[in-house]
Amino acid sequence: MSRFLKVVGVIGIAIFLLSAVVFAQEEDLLSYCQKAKINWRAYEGTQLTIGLNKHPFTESLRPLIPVFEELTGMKVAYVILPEEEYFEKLLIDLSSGGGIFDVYMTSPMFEWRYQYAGWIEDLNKYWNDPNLTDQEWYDREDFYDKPLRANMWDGTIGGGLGQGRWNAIPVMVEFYCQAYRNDLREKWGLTVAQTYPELLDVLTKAAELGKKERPPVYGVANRGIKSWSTVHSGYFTAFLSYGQRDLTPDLYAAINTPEAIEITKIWIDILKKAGPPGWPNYTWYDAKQSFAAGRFYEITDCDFFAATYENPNQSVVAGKVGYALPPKGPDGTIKSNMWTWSLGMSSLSKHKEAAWLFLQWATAPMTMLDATLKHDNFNPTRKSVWENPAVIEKTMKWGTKPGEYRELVDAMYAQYGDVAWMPNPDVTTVGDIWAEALHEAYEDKKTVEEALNDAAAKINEFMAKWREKKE
Amino acid sequence: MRMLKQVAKKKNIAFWLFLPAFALTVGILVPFGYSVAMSFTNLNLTAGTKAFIGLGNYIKMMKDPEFWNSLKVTIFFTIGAVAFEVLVGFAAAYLLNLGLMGQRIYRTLFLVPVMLPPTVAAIMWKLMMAPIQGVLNYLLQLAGFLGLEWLGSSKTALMSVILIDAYVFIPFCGMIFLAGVQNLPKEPYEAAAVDGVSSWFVFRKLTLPLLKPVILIVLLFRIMDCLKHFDIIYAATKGGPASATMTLTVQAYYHSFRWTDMGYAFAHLVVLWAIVYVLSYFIVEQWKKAVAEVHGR
Repeated sequence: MSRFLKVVGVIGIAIFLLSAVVFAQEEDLLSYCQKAKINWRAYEGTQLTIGLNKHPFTESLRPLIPVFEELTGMKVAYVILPEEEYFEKLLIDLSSGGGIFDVYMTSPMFEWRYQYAGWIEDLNKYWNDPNLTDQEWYDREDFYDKPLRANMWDGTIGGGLGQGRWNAIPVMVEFYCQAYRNDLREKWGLTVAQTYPELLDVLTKAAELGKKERPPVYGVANRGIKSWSTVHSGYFTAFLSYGQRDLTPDLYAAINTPEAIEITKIWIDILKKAGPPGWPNYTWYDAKQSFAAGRFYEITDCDFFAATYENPNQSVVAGKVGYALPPKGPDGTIKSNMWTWSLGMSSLSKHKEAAWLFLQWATAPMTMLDATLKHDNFNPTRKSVWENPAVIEKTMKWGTKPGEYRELVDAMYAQYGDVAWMPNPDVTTVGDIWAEALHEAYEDKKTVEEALNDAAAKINEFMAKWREKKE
Repeated sequence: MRMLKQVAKKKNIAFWLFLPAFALTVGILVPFGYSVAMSFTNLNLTAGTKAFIGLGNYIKMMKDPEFWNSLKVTIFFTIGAVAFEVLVGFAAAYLLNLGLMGQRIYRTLFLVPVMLPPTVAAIMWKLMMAPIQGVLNYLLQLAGFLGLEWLGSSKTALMSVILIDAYVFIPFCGMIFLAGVQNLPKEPYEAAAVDGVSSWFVFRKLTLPLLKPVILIVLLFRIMDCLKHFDIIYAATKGGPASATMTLTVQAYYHSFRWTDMGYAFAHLVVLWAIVYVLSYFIVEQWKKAVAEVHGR
C-alpha cells in the first residue's frame, strides 16, 4: 500500500511540475500580449466562432486559445472540418447570410470569390484604427512579403494582387517540392530528378523496384480527388515550370497549349506508372500519411509535410527523407505554386472589433512562434519565427544534409514560389473543371488533348461573365 | 348568443387543427416554388446576377454532355442499387422468417446498418475500400485474388457506391418484406400443401402475387430515394473518378455549393423532381391495382 502511495505521489508531483512548465510557457505569451497598447478586455464576455480546416495549423492554434480567452475575457468556439467539407460549409454560411463564423481560415484563391461577393471584411479599416491596433507591437513588416501580398487584392480580374484590400492574414505557407526516401534512393541507385522526363523515369523505376519490398513501396504519392486542390500542388508546379498559365490575360483558358499538353502527358504517365492505386480518390491527407507510413518512394506535394515526416511519433521515415526543388522545365525554369492558409473576418460577423482582436492575437509574433515551436505550425509566415534560433535548430536536421530543408524553403521564398493562379472569383471552379480533365485522361476516357480541350471550352464558358465585366 | 360563441369556438379549434397542415404545405410549396422560379434565372451568388432568362438554363442543359452523363449515371445507380437491395432484402426476409435458432439476435443485427447515418457508412466503407491500406483488399489478397481500386477507378466506382448504399438500405427493404411475409394468409398455402405442389410453384404463383403490393411499396421508396441520392456518393467519391458517379444531385451540388451557379443547379433539380414525380405516380397506380387484386376490391 505504501509503495502504491509513493507511486501515486511521484505521478502527482510529475503532473504538477509538467503543468507548471506548460503554464509558465503559456503565461509568457500572456504577459507578452499584455505589453501591447491594446485594450484586450474591451469586448469581455463576447463569444467568437471560428471556422477551421483540419490542418496542422489548426492543431497548433487550439492549445493556445485558452491564453486568448484569459487575456480578453472572451470565449472562443470553433468548428473543424476536413478541407473540402470545410470550404463547402463556409460557402453555405456566407452565401446564405447565416453568419455563424466571425473569423475563418481562408486562402487567396477563396478570398477572390468572397471579396467579389462581399463576404470578407477589409482588414485595413481595423489596422488603421489606433484604438484597436498597436502597429508597433504587431510588426506587420515581419511577415514575408509573398504570403502577405497574396492576401491583398484590388479586385481587378486577372491582376491587382498585392494591392487594395487586405483580406486576410497569412498563418502558414506551403510550396511544392520533391520529398523522397533517401535510404531507398541509395539502395536502389536512383538519382534525384532534374527534369520532368527524368522524374517519370526515376519514379517508374522506383515503382518497379518497390514491388520487391515488404510491404511493397509504391512510386509516388499524389493527391487526386475531383477538386481544384488536385491541380494546385505538384501538377501546377510542373505546369508553371513549362512556362504555362491557367488563363490568358484576357481570361481565356490556356490549359491546352502544346506545352501544357506535353507536361500533362508526362504527369498522367507518372500517375499511371508510379502513382497510388485509386489515385482519383486520394486526398492530401492520404498522400501525406501514406508517405509517412513508408509506403511511397516519393511525394511531389507540400514542403511543410516535412514536419510530419521528421516527427518519429508520426512517421516511420523520420531521418530518411531528402528534400529537393521541383524539376526544371524544358528551358531550365523552376517554379512552384504557393498556398497560404490565412485568417480572415466574415463581413457577416456581429463582433467585428472583437474578431479583429482575435486576429491580432492569433497572428502576433509570439503567438506564431509558440504555434511553430511548440505545436509544429510549418512553414511560418513571419521572418522572426523562421529565423528564431530554436526553430533553426529544429529544422536544420531535416533532410539528407544539415540545412537542406531550410535552404529549400528560403529558395522558394526568395526565387521560385508564388501564387500562380490568375486572380478571379471563379478560380476554384476553373480548378475543379481542370481536375476533371486530369481524371478523364488518367482513366483513358479521353486523350490528354481531348480532355484539356474540352475543359478549356467549359472554363471559357464560365469565364464569359468575368470577361464581360472586364470589358 | 351562446350558440354564436359555440360556433366561434368550434371555428377556432378547426383553425388550430388546420394550421400545422397549412404550415407544412407552405413549408414545402414555398421552397419548391422558389426553386422552380430560380431555375428560370441566371442566379449566381458570386457575380450577383439574378435576371430572368426564360428557358435558358434548360436549353443549356439539353446541350450539356455532363447533364446527359449525370442522368445516365443516376439511372444506372438507381437500377443497380434497387435491384440489389430488393433481391437481397427479399432473400434476407425469407431467411429471417424460417424460425432458425437465434432469429431474434439475427433480426436485431440485421437492422444495425440502417441506424448508421449514410455519410458515416460512406466514410467507413471508403476506409475499408482504400486500395493500399483497406481491409477489403487485404482480405481479397489473403484469399488469393488481386486487389481492386474500388472507389478510385471509373470501372469500379459505381459498383462500389451501390455496395455501400446496399449495405445501408438492404435492412430497410428486408424489414418491410419480412412484415409482408409474416402477414401472408395461411389458407392458400395449406391448400397448396394438400395439392402437393412444388415450393417453386408456391413461390411463383402464391407468394409473389400476394406480396406484390409490398414489393411495389419497397420499389417506390427505394427508387425515389436512389434517384435523389446524394450523401453516400458525395462522401465516397465526390462524383468522380471521371464523372463515373456523377449523379444529377451531385452535379447540382457542384453547380450550387462549389461554383455558386444557383440558377443552373435549380434547373437540374427541377428535372430530377419531374422524373421522380412521374415514376412515383406510375408505381403508385400499379400499387393501387395490386392492392385491389390481392384484396379482391
